[in-house]
Amino acid sequence: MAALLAASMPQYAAEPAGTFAAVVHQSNSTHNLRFRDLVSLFEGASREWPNGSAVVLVERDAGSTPFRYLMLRLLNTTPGEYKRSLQNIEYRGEAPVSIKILNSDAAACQFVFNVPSAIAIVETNSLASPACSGIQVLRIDGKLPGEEGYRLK
Amino acid sequence: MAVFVAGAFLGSSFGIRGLNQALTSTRDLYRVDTSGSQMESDLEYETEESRRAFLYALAVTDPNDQLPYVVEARQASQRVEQALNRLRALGVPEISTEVERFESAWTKYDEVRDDIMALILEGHAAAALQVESQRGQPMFAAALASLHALKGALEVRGRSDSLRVNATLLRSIGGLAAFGLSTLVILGLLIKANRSRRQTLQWLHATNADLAAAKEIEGERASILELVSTRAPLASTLEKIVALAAGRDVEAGAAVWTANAGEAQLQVTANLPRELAEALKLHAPPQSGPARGGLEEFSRYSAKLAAAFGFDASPAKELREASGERIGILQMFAPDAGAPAWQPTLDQMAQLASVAIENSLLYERLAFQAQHDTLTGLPNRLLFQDRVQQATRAALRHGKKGAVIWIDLDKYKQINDTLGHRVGDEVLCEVARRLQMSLRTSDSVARVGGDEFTVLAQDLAQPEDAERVAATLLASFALPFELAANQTALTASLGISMFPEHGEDPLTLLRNADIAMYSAKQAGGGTFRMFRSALSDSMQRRVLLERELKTALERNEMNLNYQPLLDRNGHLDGVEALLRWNNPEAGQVPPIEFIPIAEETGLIASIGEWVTRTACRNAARWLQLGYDVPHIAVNVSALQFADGKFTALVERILRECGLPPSRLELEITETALMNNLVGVIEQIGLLRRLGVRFAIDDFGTGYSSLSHLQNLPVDCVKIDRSFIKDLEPGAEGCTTLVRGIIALAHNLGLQVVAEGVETAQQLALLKTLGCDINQGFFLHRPMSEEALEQLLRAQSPPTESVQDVAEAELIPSASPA
Repeated sequence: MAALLAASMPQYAAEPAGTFAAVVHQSNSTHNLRFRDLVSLFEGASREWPNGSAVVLVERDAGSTPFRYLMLRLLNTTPGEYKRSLQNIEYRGEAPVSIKILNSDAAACQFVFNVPSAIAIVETNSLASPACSGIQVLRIDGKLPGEEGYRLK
Repeated sequence: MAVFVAGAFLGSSFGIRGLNQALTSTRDLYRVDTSGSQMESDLEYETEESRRAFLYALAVTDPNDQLPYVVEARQASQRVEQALNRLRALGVPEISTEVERFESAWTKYDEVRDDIMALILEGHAAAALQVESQRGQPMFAAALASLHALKGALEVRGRSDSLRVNATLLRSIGGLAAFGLSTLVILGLLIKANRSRRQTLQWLHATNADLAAAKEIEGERASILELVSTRAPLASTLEKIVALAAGRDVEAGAAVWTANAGEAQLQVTANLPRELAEALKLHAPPQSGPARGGLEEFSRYSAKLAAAFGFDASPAKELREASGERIGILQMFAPDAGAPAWQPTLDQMAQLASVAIENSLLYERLAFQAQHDTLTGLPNRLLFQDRVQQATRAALRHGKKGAVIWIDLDKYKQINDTLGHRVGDEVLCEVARRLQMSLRTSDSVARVGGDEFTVLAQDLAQPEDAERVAATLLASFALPFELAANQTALTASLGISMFPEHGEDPLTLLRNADIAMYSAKQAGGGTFRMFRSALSDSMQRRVLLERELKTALERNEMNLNYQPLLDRNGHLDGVEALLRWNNPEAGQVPPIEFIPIAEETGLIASIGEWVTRTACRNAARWLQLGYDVPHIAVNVSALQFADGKFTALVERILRECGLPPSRLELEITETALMNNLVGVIEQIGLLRRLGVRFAIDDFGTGYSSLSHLQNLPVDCVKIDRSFIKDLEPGAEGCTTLVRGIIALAHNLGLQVVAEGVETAQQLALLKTLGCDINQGFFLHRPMSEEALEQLLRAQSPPTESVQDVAEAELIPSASPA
């Protein structure tokens, strides 16, 4: 079934390569996320952290490698479908999904550094930059980037 | 001599000791005076710098533009901390209390400012401004007050050091007089040291003056940005900006033009002779306006004008918004003899003016968008209602009439569904254009919904005038529409309500025009109808339901009830989710009344998705709680299969909710199946392969071919309640029919559910006939979620094994790799 759906999905860009990291504010009490929960956050299905604060999704600009990874691999959708599904959430009268588009991984890291309820997906190569210091890299299914079985790649 | 020598010795000793003390005091004074003053200046500068960066962040909206300012504010804060540490390291006890006080006040402000910056970045500008005004500004003022106290303490300490040095110097003069030449030499050294100290202090004062000037500039910038962020009128903000020119050079003036429909429009001038300002206003170079390029030509033209009044002009500086579009021009002027160095001031003014104009344009656009439809540019419902309100008041005052006309395009949905949304949007724009062309300038047209337009016609003498307007509007549809390279005829249905006869407020008039429009629609469309109070109640109710249904989900007016299904032994076999709509105006509306409307209006897709998701979410929760609910049944409309995406949607919902597919049963009527047999069956097949069960609902009421029944990919047949209603001992005809359906279904390997079981006799008879599952009021009435949970608790205590089994059946999460 999944293969059938994937086959019918338009391919709008080349497959994104590399390893990616989910980063949050240093004070965020969530240190580990299940892969399913990460997908759920970016799909807008979950919109609150355990402490009740509203999640702010930080996404990269369309065309960037992290954005293509988000669409093609993480959410298995297209930007158009994604937009529609988020609009549907609003239509249903639920709390809207808060999304911020940043032009670079460094800007995404700086945003997360300044906003306690933000979460971003950036390339792991960017984590070494000064802009990405002082933020927290989440474990996904208990694994950090570089560890065996890490799924964000 | 010995006395003199002793005196000289004592005098020299006294003088040297005094000199030593004076030197120590001078060093101490120098250390505290210079280092302390410098650090205090650093502190004050960085404090303002942090504040300035923060205000800049507040003045822009894109997080990519905000972030550099946020980073700058944080860095300035770090430098404040460093300056504080250096001050503390001086070890001056007289200022330690003030240092601690300032640090405490600054830390508090810094924390609040971090919260405000997070709000700004999250896009909550209004909340940020509120926290800023309620907490940020008072805390910043408190920090500044502490800083000024610190500055005062430093000055007191400096004065006391100075007095101490003077006293010590006086004491040493007596000894030095006795010691003679050597003492004079030392005195000379002291005088030199003192002169050096004075020079250092003079230099410090000069530096402080420069810093004060820099702070004044920053202060002006901050106050201008405050004006921008508090939405002060653009003209007054620009006046303050151009006044900066005179602040730098008393003879310099400036002017700002903004782009208005592609031409330069002089907004404000400052410090220019009235005649020159008038000339610039009257003779703005029209062919080289801000939006058209030609900046050099603009410069030359205005320079020529200025020269006629004895003024030099700077090169024109263009003002751009973040997108790069030119939004204005700035130019400085000064008398011939005193042309200043333009660039620094010009750059500073241009930056501020760009921010001010961009923000003003942004607010104008937001205000426009709040009252207009973005697709057609027509007024939206809000603005239209306001206009109707004004028109009805004016009509009452002057004893005149007017009309509200509701226009609904006939079969627009078909165009949208078959030719796509882009073509649909083109149609709406063309309709908007034609309607505008058909009206007088005093009339208004608005777009109030997807394919719904409204017209306000004023100053009418009689209803026939309104009918003439409606006829003209209808005539505008006579020419075919060019759609996707084809010509297509399009018609509309119009409803008219007159004021004051049919209502005196916008809502009543719109509602009555809508009812009249529906009457036109019932008459076949392509025509208009005048509202009559005699229009049937059912029509009014239909219009009401259609209008209310559009926002029913948003307003949480829908909920699900659940009715248990029991097997032959009375054990729970599943629950059916039943949609309920409770509207404040229409009351409790049964599904049989609103589902057809939802299907006609296309709302069935979103309502169906909400029902499926809510039912699955609850079923998953019950499983997690350990209640064994074998399956949840959800009714689906054939229209939900129409776009071919239903299978993907169901799979996504199951995955999101964590419900095993085998726990979901979808019920579809046999009529729906028959209408789109191939397309629906294909999608049902995909979902069944996933594990989802399917049932034919209301079996026996449609027109299904028995030959198709064996090919239908379903698991269950639900016998319609009309058969069960008449089922009783002695009713042979009915009993035979039910027996036949059960036997037929069993032979095809299908399970049988009897709906509408209301008596013990019916239940007993159904058991005798071999019916597998029963559902009806006799067994359980539909109940709320809470009531069902109580029932589940009472009948089957939670067990962990249910949860384990359910988890094993879940759809695996999609892997990105």
